[in-house]
Amino acid sequence: MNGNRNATLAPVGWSIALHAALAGLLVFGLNLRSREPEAVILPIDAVVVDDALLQAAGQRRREDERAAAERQQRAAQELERRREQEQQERQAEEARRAEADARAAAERRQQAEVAAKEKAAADAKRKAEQAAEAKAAAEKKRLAQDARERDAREAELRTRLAEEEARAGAGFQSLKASYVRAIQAHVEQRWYEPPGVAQGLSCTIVVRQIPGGEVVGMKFGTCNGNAAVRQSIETAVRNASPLPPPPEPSLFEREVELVFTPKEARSR
Amino acid sequence: MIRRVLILMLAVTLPAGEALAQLTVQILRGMAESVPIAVVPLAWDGAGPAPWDVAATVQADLERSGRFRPLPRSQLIEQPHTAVDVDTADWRMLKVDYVLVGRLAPAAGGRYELRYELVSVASGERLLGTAVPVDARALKRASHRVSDAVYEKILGVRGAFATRIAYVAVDGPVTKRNFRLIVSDADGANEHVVFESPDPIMSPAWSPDGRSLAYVSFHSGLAAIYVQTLSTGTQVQVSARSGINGAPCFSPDGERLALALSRRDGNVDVYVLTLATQQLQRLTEDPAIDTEPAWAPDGRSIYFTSDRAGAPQVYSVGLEPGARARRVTFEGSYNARPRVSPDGRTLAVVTLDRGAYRIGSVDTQKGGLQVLTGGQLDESPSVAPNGADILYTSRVGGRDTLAIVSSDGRVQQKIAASSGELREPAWSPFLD
Repeated sequence: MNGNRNATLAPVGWSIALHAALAGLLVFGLNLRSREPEAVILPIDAVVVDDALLQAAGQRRREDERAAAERQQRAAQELERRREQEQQERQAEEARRAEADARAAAERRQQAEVAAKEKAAADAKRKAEQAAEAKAAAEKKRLAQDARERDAREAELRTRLAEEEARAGAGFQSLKASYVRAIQAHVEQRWYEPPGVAQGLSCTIVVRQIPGGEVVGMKFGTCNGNAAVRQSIETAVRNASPLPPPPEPSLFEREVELVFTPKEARSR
Repeated sequence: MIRRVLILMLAVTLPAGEALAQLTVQILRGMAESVPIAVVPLAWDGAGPAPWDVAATVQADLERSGRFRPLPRSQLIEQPHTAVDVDTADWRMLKVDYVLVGRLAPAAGGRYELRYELVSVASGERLLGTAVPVDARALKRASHRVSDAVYEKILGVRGAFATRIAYVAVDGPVTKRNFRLIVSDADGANEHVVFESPDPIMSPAWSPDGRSLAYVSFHSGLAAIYVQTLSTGTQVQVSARSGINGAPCFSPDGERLALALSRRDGNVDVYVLTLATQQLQRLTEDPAIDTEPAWAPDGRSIYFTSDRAGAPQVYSVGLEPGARARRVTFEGSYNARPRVSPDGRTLAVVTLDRGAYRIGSVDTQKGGLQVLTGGQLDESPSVAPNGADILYTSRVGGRDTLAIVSSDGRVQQKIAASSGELREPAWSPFLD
């Protein structure tokens, strides 16, 4: 800030100095002119002058006049030069100022332009963003819609599958369940549960049957029952032959796993 | 897309996976009421008629247990006497699971040889094959032992047919009562009077070896506890302290007797009397009535009845000095007269069930109570040595009779025994 002010004040300083010098020269010039009459008065007193002396004096006078004229000329020229310089400086200064103004204006303009551009850009960006957002929202909505539709389609497919499975399956499952129940009841009716074995008994026996239900083999799996329990189970299974037929031929299994796990001692 | 593929895959794999699995069937209970068996009359290899119908005794035993359904003799289509002659296909037609065959032959010294075999119709397997020498007078007992063997082979539990029961029979008008202490076979047959008195006889209890009975008798005018040896009839008074001397019960080692005494203070408590030394140990000391002691099978604690909580309930107390009694029964307002099963897992008790006194079974670990009988006044339970049955008295038509209920409550039966009122039956231990 100070530097800037110094920079702007420097030309003013120079201008003052130049004006002072100019004023000095003018005063000095006046002094030169006021002394000339004194020199003119002298020849009148000296009547008796030699020709040569007169010539020399005339020469000196002419030279002095010429010198004075030259000095005058030079001073004028100097003045003119200074005026010109001053003018030039003023013009330069004005030009500079104008240039600075112009530059400032240009700058302002430019700034304005930049600002405008920025604003435009920002606007454009915002608009673009808004547009993008809107687009994204729209896309999202569309995707969501798609997903919903897809889910709905899938749900429908699943439902249809489940229904179909239930229709084939439910029939299948319920038929299978009734087959299992039939075998269960058939074996349970033929099993005499030895007294006191119910607690914790778990006995697995895999029974092989042929179509028609005839039991053609059996094999104990894990069984924590004693010999009498195994005996009772083996007897029950043999007596259960032939096993009941499945309600639907495809349900027939060659291997049937019987798991003897009485819940608790039967109460009256 | 992937999800759709997965769904389709599931739809394809599920039924396929199911189709590959074998069928699994849960068997949750045995519905068969009893085991069908054919007891074929034994061949008699001697001259004249057979000295004893072993098969008839076995058939009656098995039938009476309620756990077997012997084929009536009239329906026996063939009468093989050895296992190899048993045609399982034929017996299967008759829906018989097991066939018992055998023969009785005279042996040296007036004895007999009893051979028997048990065949499984299901597998054709011979499950039993035994030949035993039998004393001429022990044919019935030997027959019960055959029943025991069959019972154990098929049910996995030792039979208790060759055991005995003791009970008190009371008859005569009120003014002239007659009390008899009777011992009979487990089927009620072969009665034998051990002691007879016009004064009350109470609380017979078997010694662990089955050779003696302890009981309470008033024949000296006051209550006293006696131990009588069955083979000799020798009667020894073991406790005649002032006040009540009651409810004797032998320890598992037979050396001590748990009993209820009131002594001089009139406070009935449970004591343990060492027979050889007459040393007395007081187990309970409570102003309430503590009585009807029963030893746990391990001999380390005693169950008893006490009304310390207001109404009779069953408690348990250890034999170590200073042991505190612990209540065992919590279900029901009245549980008394505990008798312990051989495995110590259940107590047979008298329980008040909907206004009637019935026989109940208490789980000693979990405390649950199962009512086993349905009479109006069922009393004095006694557990069979195999734990499978409970003998008790049931008041029918104003008269006490003997009855048996299986420990799971499934089978109930009456015992035909002596006339008069039959009280306080006690099932003997196994008699080897």
